[in-house]
Amino acid sequence: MKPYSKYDPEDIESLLLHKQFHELYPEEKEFILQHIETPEEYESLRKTLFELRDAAANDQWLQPDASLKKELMAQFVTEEKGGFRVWLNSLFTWPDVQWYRQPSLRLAFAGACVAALVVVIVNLNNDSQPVAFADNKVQQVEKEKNLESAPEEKDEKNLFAENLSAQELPAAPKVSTEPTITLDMPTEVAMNDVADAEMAPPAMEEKSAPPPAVNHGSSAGNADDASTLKEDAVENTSATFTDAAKSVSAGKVVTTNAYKNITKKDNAVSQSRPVSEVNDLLNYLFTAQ
Amino acid sequence: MALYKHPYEKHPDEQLMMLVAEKDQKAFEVLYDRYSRLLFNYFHRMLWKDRERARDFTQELFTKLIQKPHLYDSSRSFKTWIYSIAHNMCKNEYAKHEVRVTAHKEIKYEDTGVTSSDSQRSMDRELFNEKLKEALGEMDEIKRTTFELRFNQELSILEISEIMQCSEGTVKSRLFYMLKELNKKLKVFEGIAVWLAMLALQLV
Repeated sequence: MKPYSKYDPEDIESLLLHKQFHELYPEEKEFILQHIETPEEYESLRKTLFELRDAAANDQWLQPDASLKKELMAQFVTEEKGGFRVWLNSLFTWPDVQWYRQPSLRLAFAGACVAALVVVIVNLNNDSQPVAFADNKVQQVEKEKNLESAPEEKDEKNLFAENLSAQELPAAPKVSTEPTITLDMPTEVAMNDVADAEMAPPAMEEKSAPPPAVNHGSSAGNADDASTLKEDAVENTSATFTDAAKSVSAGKVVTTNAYKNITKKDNAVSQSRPVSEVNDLLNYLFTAQ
Repeated sequence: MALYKHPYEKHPDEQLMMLVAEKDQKAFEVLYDRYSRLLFNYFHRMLWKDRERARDFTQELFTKLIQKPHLYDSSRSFKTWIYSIAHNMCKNEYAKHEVRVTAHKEIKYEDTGVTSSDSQRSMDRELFNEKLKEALGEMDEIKRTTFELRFNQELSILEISEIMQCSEGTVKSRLFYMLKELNKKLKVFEGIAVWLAMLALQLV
């Protein structure tokens, strides 16, 4: 066993700094003499060591330029404004297992994630096509409009049905068994004017006199009109055939007036009723007559 | 002297460095004030007394500090860490240029102009410094770095061992053998100094 194993060659520096040779303990002297040949060399080394320390202490210390600090501070501010940074080393560090610590695996995982993200985004774009979406939107708007206008239409239909029911259908005219005159005229005129053949005077009166006030939108008014039509029809049945030819043209007027009355009634129900419905109504009324 | 001291000036280096990582400008400024002079002189001595080069290297080092603060391991000493970077920068510089011997010769020629001194003591001092620089210039980079860190930067053996990435024993051993080598070279100087002193006395 080495007696002075606690001293290492590198500890000579501390001995040189703190003790002269004659101040060393015997074991320290023995240790020193293993590395230094003579006590004179020890003292020489000690002197050199102190001189080195003095030389270092007295060495001139330079001061960096003030501009260097300014540049660095400006650089720091610029770097600070640089914004958000993501260091690649900090990405995809999970899971923290031995086999996953290889950069290639992390890179591959990162690539797979990016690829998956791209696929998802592309699929999402395909699912939600812009044109189809626009069509749906238009359809939706139309549906909304229909929903808004549906109750009105329903009301109109109901009102129209009420009007129809309120109109007492005239009794089937008692067509006389007497022979009739067949006129060469269009079928429509004939149909209309068979009944209106003798309506020329009242029609003229109706034409000259202002039409009776129509109670728009009321079923009572509609009933009055219906009764008027009934009376007209009754009178028409008693018309003479002699006057029929004369009143062909007047019948047209009457028919026109009747059409106007009906149109007024119809307008009282709804200003926006289609013409086809009015025609249907007219057909219904005259068929009934 | 400023009456008011920023609280950061009492903070340890490690804490300041963590603040620098969080982009704290004042923390960086305090760190700069603490280490800029030390590092500037370190580079100046290690890089052939080239002031401009020392400035550039100091700037580069602090730029690294700004740009890559995340590289600092908070479990380590900041002082050791920053000197390690400086040491590696010097090593890279030596390897890059491969002009160490040439540079040393240039330094020799540049600095030989300083001679005169009024007193014998100051003349001895100047001559000793001159001889010391010459002797250090002839040493390899590892010994010079050890000398610089130990005697000029006054770092501990432990810190030097961490900077140079070797054991404490190795650092102590290097210091001891470097001391012996310098002692031999400076003994010649002692003889010259004695001869010069005798010559001066005779001239007087």
